[in-house]
Amino acid sequence: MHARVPRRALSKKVKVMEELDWLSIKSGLLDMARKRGAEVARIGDPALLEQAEPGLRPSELLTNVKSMIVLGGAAPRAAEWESTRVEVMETVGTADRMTALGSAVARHIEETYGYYAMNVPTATDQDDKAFLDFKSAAIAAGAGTASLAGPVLDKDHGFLYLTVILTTMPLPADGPLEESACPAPQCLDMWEEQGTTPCMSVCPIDDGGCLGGEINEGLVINRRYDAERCRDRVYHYWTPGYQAALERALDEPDARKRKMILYGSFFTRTMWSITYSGVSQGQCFECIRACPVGSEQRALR
Amino acid sequence: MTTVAGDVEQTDPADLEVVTNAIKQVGIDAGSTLVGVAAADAFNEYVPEGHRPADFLPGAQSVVVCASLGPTNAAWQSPNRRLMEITGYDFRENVSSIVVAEYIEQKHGYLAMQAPALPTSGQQPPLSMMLSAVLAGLGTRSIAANIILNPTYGLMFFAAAITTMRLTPDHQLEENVCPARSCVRMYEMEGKTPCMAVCPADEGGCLDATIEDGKITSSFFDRERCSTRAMNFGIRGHIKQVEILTGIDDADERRELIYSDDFRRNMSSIGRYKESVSQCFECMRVCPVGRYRRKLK
Amino acid sequence: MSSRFGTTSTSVTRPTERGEINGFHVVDPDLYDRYRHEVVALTNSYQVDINEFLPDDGTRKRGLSDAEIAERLGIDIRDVTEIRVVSEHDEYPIEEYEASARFKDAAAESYFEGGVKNLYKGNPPPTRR
Repeated sequence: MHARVPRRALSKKVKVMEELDWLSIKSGLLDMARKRGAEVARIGDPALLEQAEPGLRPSELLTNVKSMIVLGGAAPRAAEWESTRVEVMETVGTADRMTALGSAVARHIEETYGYYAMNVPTATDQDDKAFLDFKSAAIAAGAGTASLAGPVLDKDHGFLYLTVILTTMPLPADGPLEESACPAPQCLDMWEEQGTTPCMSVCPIDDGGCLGGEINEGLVINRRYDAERCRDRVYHYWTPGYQAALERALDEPDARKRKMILYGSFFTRTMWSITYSGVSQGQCFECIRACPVGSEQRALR
Repeated sequence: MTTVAGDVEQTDPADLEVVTNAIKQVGIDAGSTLVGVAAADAFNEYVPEGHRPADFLPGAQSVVVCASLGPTNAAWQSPNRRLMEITGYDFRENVSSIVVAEYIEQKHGYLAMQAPALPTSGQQPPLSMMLSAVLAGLGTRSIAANIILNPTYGLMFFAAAITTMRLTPDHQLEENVCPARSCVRMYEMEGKTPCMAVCPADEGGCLDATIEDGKITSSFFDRERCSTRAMNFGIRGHIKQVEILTGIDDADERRELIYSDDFRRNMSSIGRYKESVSQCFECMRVCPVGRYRRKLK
Repeated sequence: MSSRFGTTSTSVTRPTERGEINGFHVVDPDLYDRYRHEVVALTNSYQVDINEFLPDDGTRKRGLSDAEIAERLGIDIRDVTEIRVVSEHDEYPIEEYEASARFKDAAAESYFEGGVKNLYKGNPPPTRR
């Protein structure tokens, strides 16, 4: 017996089905998502994430969860990757579209089929922990594969923003992909020639950056990642930046210098980013800018 | 047509106009009220290096400017003027500019991005949406806070997409929308236009200008004072309150500030930014341009 | 910097030198005090004669970029940026925000009482009571 919205709560629009063609339903849902902007739409088995640390398991968000719908999309425009000004990528993000899409899909499932569905929040919970490991969900669903740089990469589109809908509806799961997009052939060549890859070259952990690792027999091994430094770059002018500048101001005994810090461009900029956080999600893309996966999509005139 | 430099594809001018109009329609269909096109190099005359379209997208040829209306007409009529401070916009021009950019990339294979307009250096936006609107023929700069007035709609809000695609550009309007005829008459009688009367720079306000033969011959706008009005609650107020807080030693005094209504309103405006974009409309309230459209049943 | 579209005029400088990156830079308060008014006069804080219909014979003006101001005053561009941004906040005290709210109350009330004509009535006029 699958967990459902109580029959008495169903609206007239809910279809009461005796026999459910799950494949058709799955196909319809994923098509709907693609038509509304998802570049990638896959189903994952939430059981694959049940070994995650407590607090990050799908069943802790939705009891009797049966499926994860993982959608990827809202990638930056090709022109944004080409821009020589980092302020562009820092301020024109459209990641919010995936949140809106996820909510629409969740609502559609509940109203049409009568199963519970939720769009997992992309903001963080207490202790700045995610509600769900989106990357693991995407990998489990085959919505991309892991990368040395960090983001899940789709072999055609490269970096995409993700949203995950958890539902009690039992949809046939797609599995993890068998072939990884990372390392790309160009990265293998670069590793052979120079002992590094584009992402490690632009952000080397042993030289003030965030990434390190090796490639052995076509696989990434011994990956090193400075999460704190990366966070300070991705959220450069956001809450972490605000906190850092505020701390510096509070520690400054000279009132004039405090004013220079608080009225200055950095603190002001963190306020704008916090205010317009919808477009400021992600303020460092340099590892992915260098990444060849999906770069063919960006080769426009 | 403005001469456009660069290694660009030669396109039949007749086709180019059709293609340009189709792109404009995409912006309209996405929710904009008006869409215009400015040639990228038209910016060079008005802004310094670092603030031109090609500074953000090398090889930029065109800037597609989307315009939409702000508060609804009912909001203008509300006797509670604070309603306009948090009335909420739908930001359709922003959505349109992104839809246009994606359409150009997907359909025509040219690079296109939403123009970066969010201030990244104090009050300074990377690319001026006001200038973009002027160059795209969507309006002209007015005495009232240098707001760009469309001849039909008056006050509008603008966003843009920069692209390497060469499009048929629109041009600046030939006649300045401001001052309106009634404003010229008022200036001749009173020495001020309505906007200058409501917010005179020489009496604690933001605006001043001279008009000769019905044309603006000089203008003055105090942007920083205007900011205290148009951004009454939000980022700037919060920063000032934080500065004050860091200088208060007395815990009770700090508490009083932290729990004050002003502090709450500043945070609320930051959190609900979409509803708090603009917080002073007094110069626009008295502006005759487009005002007749606000009278409904 | 080179691109597919050829070398740009910014080929020999770093973004920080062009004023394109903020990062965390704090200007010395003494430098701020010394250059504040000169910098503000050159920026867009007070916009004089910028209307596009004004003739380009010296009549029409514009604010200068941080790079232009740095070159003119002979100070580091990052200090120019900080002086400009700090002064944007510093031109008016927090009391001005209260005055702004009261101004808006008066202006809206005046309009709803008697429209545009009401703005010219009385001494002081409604918006300054």
